[in-house]
Amino acid sequence: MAENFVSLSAPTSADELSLLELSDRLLSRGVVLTGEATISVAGVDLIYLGLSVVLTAVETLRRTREPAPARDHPA
Amino acid sequence: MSPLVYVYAVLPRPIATKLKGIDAQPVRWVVDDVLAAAVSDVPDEEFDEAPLNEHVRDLSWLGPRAMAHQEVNYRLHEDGEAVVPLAFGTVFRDEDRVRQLLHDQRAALAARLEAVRGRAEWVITLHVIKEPDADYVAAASPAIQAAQKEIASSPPGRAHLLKRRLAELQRDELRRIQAESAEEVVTRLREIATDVYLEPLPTDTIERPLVRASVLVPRSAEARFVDQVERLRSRWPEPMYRVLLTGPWPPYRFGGLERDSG
Repeated sequence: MAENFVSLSAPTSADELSLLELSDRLLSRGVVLTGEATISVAGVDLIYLGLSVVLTAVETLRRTREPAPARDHPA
Repeated sequence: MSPLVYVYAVLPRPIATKLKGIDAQPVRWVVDDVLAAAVSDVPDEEFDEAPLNEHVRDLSWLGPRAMAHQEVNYRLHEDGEAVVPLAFGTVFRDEDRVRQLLHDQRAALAARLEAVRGRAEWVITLHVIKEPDADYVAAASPAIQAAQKEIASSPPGRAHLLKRRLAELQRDELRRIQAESAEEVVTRLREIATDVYLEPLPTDTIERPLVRASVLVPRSAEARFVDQVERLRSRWPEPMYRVLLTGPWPPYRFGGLERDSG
């Protein structure tokens, strides 16, 4: 399979990318049954959170194939 | 402590399973006359509203539980003809309240089950890896070619002015090419998909993808769909884009979409 095509079948392994993708799927606005006395995840900025971490993971994958540019990390 | 009832999914009827859910608890069924919910017990000190919303931001807590949620839904999706998987963390005080909800939302849930019956969900993301170079953009743009010809045949002063305009034109044309690539991906997906949902993108992320879509695909068309994505991958010269595809997922997204929004 070509390098820039990452295909994950239904995630059953705990590798980072599939876990993040999974969290993004499960926490984004799917079906939330709302009724009396339902407890639920607030869900507010979770789409954003999930997607950002997925993107970060993709970036990390890429860095493992290319030398990372020198970069300042503010403490 | 007392257990709470965690709901994984709604199906038209119970199916035979010996599944283990979160914390390896056995999955059982709560049924009303026409629908069935797959549930298991979870501890209230972790799954009541306040602790749940606290824990869910911690990937080391979320990871194994999200995986258990997915594994239950994966099995139900493989074995059942229709499943509406719920979002992570849908928890009830007791079984009666689950039953009440199946009853109250019967029509909506039945409609959602029909919409996803025999289908799976895929997620495709198109990332820009490297912007196409000036030659590529020019080759794809009659406007740039015309401007370049005009520059070549103009006196130096006018050529200088035209070159500045050309730089602007190149940026515009690059944006157009990227937008067309995203559109082409969506068009190709629609040829096979039952439905395509364009996910909202963050506005301030450096690695913002060109497009991210959830795609509902009949299970009978999966091989054709994956072939189509493979063709898209080789559609552009490497290393312009990266195509990420995940699936088949239980229809988390499409099971939750209002029917008139697709």
